[in-house]
Amino acid sequence: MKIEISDEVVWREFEGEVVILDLASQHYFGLTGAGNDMWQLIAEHGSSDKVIEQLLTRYDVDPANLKADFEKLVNELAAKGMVRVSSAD
Amino acid sequence: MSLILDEHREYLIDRPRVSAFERAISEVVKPGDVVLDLGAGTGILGLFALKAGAARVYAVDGIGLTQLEREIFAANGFADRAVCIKGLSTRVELPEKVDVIVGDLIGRFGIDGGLVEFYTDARRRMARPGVRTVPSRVDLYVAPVEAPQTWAEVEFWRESPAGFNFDRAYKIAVNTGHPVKYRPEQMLGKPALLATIDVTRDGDPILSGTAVSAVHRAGTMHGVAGWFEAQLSPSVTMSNSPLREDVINRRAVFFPVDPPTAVAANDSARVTMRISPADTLVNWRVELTDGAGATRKKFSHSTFSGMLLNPEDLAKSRPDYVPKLTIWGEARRLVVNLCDGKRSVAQIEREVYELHRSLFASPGEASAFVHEVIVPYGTSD
Repeated sequence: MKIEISDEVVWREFEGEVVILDLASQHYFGLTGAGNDMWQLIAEHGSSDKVIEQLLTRYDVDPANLKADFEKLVNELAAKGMVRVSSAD
Repeated sequence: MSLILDEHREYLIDRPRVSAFERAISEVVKPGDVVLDLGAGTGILGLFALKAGAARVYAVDGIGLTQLEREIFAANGFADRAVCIKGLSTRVELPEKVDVIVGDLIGRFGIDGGLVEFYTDARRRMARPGVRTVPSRVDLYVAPVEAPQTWAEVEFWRESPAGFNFDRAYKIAVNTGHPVKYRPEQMLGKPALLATIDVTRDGDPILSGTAVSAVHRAGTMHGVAGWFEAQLSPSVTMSNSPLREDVINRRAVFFPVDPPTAVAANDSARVTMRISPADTLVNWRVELTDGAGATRKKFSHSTFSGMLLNPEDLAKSRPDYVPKLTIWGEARRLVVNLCDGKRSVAQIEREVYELHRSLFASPGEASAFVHEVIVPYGTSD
């Protein structure tokens, strides 16, 4: 699936954390560890397949678990309006 | 040495600016109007309004020139028609609604002087329906620009000043807008209209726009130049455009692109910006395409990446942060609680000093601390 970061957020890496500012709500959110990697890979590739492929080269985990964790994060980000998800890749 | 006064002297010797406001205000203000002057400074715009026949001017300013304003209005025979109020306009209440709002809160790029925030608030709370505003509209323009000297100020941080590594500061500098006085020949393309701020109505909290500028000569694009053109009244405009002969004495803005890139005639620079005026936060993306429309390079920057953040401050901004007060916060709360309409300042100072001896080396320090709270927040009403 295609994942696009919303135009309503700005983000940067700061002290090992991805800091995201939602311009609409003026709230800050932070992602650390694997979440940090996932966000930056989404920004770079915009495709769930490519992100998961990259994550599997960095993390020695069960692919099904990693995919489930990634989808859970994407769903949370989409629910907050921070990313848009579509089926075209 | 008064830097504030000298700043206002600079405003007054800027003939194109003063002339534009005088003509615009005489066009907009009708005899008998009640006028609000936002960010009044020395009161010059209020003086123009009174000269145009305003019945009353409310001159609001938060930076400490209020008493000077009063004396200037009085020296010019307007003491009975000018009311000078010290404070942020968003915290001021007026005894009547105004017909006209005037001010120069445009900054360098329309979004950095408080125009949107303060005019929106004033329109909602202090103005009659259909209030006239000076300015009524501000257009934002951008153009690809060759600016080697300004770029050198950004690049400076990667050049090991004093023999140390300051590369982290480069990342800030390349994501920051820089004030610049441009020469017309620095423009690589025709200016394009990016966005418009309609000062007379509420707009989107996020201002967005895309502008395409055709490159008209070969050169090196170091970044994007940004400036404003303000419609002060139906027949008067004012601008800091480097291409205008009547340009006011106010620098425009340089938005860097990393890295600087060679451009050719017939290239195009597509500039997209998303701006949050409330935070003076600007995202700028630039796509450089060749004459056939193929993308040559893309750039993406944000003043969010250029912000000087401290992790401690950032942690306190999270929605799930649960704060307590520091000892200084407790002392401040004590001052606020002691302002009960019964205790005098002297009594409050004594109590604060007694209860927080560990914070203050002397009663004088405690007095200054109490003063910091009482001046902005105290009242005898």
